[in-house]
Amino acid sequence: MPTAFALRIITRNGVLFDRQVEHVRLPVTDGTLGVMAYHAPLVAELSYGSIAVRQPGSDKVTLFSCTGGVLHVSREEPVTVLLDAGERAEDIDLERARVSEERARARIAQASRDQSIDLERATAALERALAREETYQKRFP
Amino acid sequence: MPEDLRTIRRKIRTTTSVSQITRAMKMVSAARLRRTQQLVEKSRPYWEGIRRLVRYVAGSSDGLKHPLLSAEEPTNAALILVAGDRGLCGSYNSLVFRRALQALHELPVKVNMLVGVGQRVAAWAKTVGLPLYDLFPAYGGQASDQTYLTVARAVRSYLSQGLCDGVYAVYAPYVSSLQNIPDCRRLVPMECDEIPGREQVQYLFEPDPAELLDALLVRAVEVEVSQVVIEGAASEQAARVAAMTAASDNADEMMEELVRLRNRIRQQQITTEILEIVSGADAITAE
Repeated sequence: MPTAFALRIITRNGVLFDRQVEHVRLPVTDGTLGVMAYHAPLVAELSYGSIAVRQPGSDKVTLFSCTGGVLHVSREEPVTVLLDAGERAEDIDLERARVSEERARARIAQASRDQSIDLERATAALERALAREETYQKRFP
Repeated sequence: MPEDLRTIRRKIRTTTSVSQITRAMKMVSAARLRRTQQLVEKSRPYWEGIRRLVRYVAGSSDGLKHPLLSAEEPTNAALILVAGDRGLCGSYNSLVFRRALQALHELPVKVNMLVGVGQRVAAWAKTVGLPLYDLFPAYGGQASDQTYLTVARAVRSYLSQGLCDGVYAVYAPYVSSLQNIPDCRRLVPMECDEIPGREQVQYLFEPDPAELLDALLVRAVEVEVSQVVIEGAASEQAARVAAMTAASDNADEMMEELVRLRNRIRQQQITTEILEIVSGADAITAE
């Protein structure tokens, strides 16, 4: 029985990853989810964090930052991850993520006083920044 | 030929500078076309993925109902009109508006909200006397996908506030750089008819089906709307490239005619002058 399966990671900015893999670990709303070949059909909402992909015949893990999205597992099609926003760990700009984390925290702190601040967007920005930092630190400890 | 040489020379100068301008505009919009074209191509896999997933989930989960998925026509619809910020793009804007008027007559529902993308929509709505609920700039093909998401977020909030229960869009889908005919499409409620030939799959849902459907449809609405805006922007740039190419070609043709005319008149003048001299000389020898 083959242990590899096809995985596609798609963002609004195009196809990020499209290869055979052995294992993928994803952040879901109540923890972490691991998918291997022959997983039962599943649709899941993703939370923020990092996605770890292991390709066949190698111990090396490819990391992606993830800030929410949807996962689709079925028998007929490649396992598909539709990411709201995400990138390869190697492409993350840590400095920028830190700056936007600061900015988002400041905005959230201000939101109770200032009506013009969109709390939903500020929270999303913070999650994005945290996901990037976490992924970067996992990749380059 | 009654026109004198000086007028023609001036016309030649004008035509030259016009063709320089149109050529420059063509280059600018060609660059923007490439950018927006890339946006369209990059976002299509995501868009298609979400659309397919909506259909899978709607088809497999019996008894799952969602207002954004109902098969019935909505009662209270919003119409998004995607045109340009500026003119000089051939018939692009007017074709969109013509299609919009047609859609307003044909749609089986009452359109209560008109949402415009592109400054031209405001001017048009004023002339035809339709109130515009909201207006977004089209950014002339310079915006990123994030800016187009602002339109999508606004539409999402209309839906969640209950201002409308259906969304239609009149826009020009980007097919190729030569073909972009405006069309009217229903974005919400989404198509959820089953895909023929596909076996029903019993999915696991994480977290629970209702929450998942919510999460999925929020994304679906966003991507549907932003895709419409991005494709419209690409079509606008394509139309502008075509219009500016035609204008440059016309200017070239006009130049050719004007130069020919100028040469003929100049030749005529010379001939007349020579004739005068020769006939003068003849008159002297005859004496």
